[in-house]
Amino acid sequence: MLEELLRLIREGGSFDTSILARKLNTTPAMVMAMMDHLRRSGMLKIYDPGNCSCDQCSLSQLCDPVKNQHDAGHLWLFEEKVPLPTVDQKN
Amino acid sequence: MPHAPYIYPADYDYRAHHHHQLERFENGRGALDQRTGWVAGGHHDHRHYMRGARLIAMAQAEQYRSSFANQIDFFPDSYDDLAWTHHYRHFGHRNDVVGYPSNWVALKLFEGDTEITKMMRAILPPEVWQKVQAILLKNDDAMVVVASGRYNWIGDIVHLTVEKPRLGQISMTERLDRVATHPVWGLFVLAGILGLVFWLTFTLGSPVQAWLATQVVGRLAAWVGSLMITAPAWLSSLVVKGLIGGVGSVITFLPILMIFFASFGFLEDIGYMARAAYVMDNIMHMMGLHGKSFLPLFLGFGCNVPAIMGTRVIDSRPARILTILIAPLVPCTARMAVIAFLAPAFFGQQAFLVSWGLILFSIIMLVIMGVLLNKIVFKGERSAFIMEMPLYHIPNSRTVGLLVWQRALSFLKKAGTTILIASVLIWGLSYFPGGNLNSSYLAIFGKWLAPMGKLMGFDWRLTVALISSFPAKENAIATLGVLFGSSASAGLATTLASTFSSASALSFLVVTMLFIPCVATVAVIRQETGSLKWTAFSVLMFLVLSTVTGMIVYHVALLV
Repeated sequence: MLEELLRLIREGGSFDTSILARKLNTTPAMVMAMMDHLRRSGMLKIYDPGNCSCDQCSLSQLCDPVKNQHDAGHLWLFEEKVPLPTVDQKN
Repeated sequence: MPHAPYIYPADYDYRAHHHHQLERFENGRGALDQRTGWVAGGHHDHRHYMRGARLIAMAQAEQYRSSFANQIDFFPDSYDDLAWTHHYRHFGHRNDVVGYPSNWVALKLFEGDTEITKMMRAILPPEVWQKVQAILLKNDDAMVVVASGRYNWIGDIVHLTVEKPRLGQISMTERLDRVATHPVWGLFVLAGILGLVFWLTFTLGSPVQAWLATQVVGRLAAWVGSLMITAPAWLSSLVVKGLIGGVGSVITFLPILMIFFASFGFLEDIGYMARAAYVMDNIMHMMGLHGKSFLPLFLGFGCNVPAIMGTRVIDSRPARILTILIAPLVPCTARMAVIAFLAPAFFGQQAFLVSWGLILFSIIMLVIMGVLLNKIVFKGERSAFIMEMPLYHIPNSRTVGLLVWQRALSFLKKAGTTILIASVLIWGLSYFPGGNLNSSYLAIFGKWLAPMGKLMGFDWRLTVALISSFPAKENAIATLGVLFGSSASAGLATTLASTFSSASALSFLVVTMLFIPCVATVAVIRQETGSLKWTAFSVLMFLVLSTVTGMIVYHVALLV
């Protein structure tokens, strides 16, 4: 299932977790768990624009960590996997 | 140190030992109770099925790990007695690999487990470690494959045991999203909602704005003018034309903006705005735009400032610069507010259709630029971003109210600072040197630019109004307010509608929308490019783009 998720993401574009869940015949929560797994593996990262707030911005909840405490959602970025690092490289 | 899980022996025959459970599990897949989502037969059976699923998963995992483990001979013959002695002395274990089964260690290595990798590197002879590394690099996707096996197992268990709620927040969100985020239907929903927002804004707001312009600002100007009859002419003109005409005209549009802010606040609070941006982003995807410009352009629907900051995800500098250059084309919330603000000043009852068309036009421009960007820079490079949509929920009146209050306050602060200064400056330039508008400094400057403005259907007054909109788009109204003023018989909107043709007005709105981005955006372009040259290029590019588009729109509108 994780491989299938990666294949979908590698096709490129913008995705919504519920759409991914439908395509994988699973639940959005399961997709979130797999995305978290990919985040820990360094393939996905949560987008953080840093110190950027805009009163006029209708999407500010998505990238403002203060506003995003409840259920405003996140933006995730896919980073193409790099070869498995060796211990020498990690050190 | 992680604990080794219980592992069945390599020669363990799962099917022989657990065939009853496996058969029941496999047959049980088709015997799911569709009503409850649980496996028929009650809790006892369900436990059996869970166990069966686990067994199958274990069998698959064992088969997988064995096939890989067989590729690694951790302790070959060359690992002589001396080495073994050294190994025992340091680790004191007698099992395969320092207390862990070798196939489990192989699995952990494939998963990239840092601790096991470090440990194996420390204990294995260098030549063996090199072989291990070679296998790991060759199978660098094993980590995903192993994890995928686990998620498949979890998925099976979830299918068997989790009952989806039939009603409630989650299913409602899913059902609505099937339409709202659909690549085709989502666009219709978005177009309908935007149309409804503009219709509501102008239907409710325009009469209030017209009343404020004539009955409040117009009467106030007349009353203050009569009070200051004995004051110096310049002072009376400053107060009546500069302050009341400029700032007063801008403030009359506050009701329109407040309805617009409330509509957007409502959409934001119920969770629709994220979906709107997602659907708009889908258009670019459908048009073939790939690459890392997705995220910045997506964020641009909220505000161009984070959009430009979002280009940090793009590694290639040329691609980043190009994305920064086109990001301000995305119609951000503030720009939509400007359209909501300017359209009724020129088009009255037709403002709703004009605003709608302008947003559509802006998206078309963006798609054209996006496709060009993809062809020129990204050349099919693929990247992705995933959005975790917020759940739909009933809007909170306090949240929406707070949002309207914050944005209205921000607008009023701007009216009291930037717009006030611009109004006084415009008034000064339009009054001096002789108190006559047509021979003023502003007229001289405007008439100098008039040939250029004429190509877009502007007279010199519209040209200076456009230029004054650089620090804040609202200044365009303030300038027109100073130059035309409001009276008790006719507000600014009525005067503008009777002075300029529809072609000129449409051209003015298009040029204003595509004109140089707001000051904050220009500042962040300077910050992110780290180059004055690129900042100047961006400003110049929008100047040329808006002027050329304005000319085309004006001449096409004249033909229609």
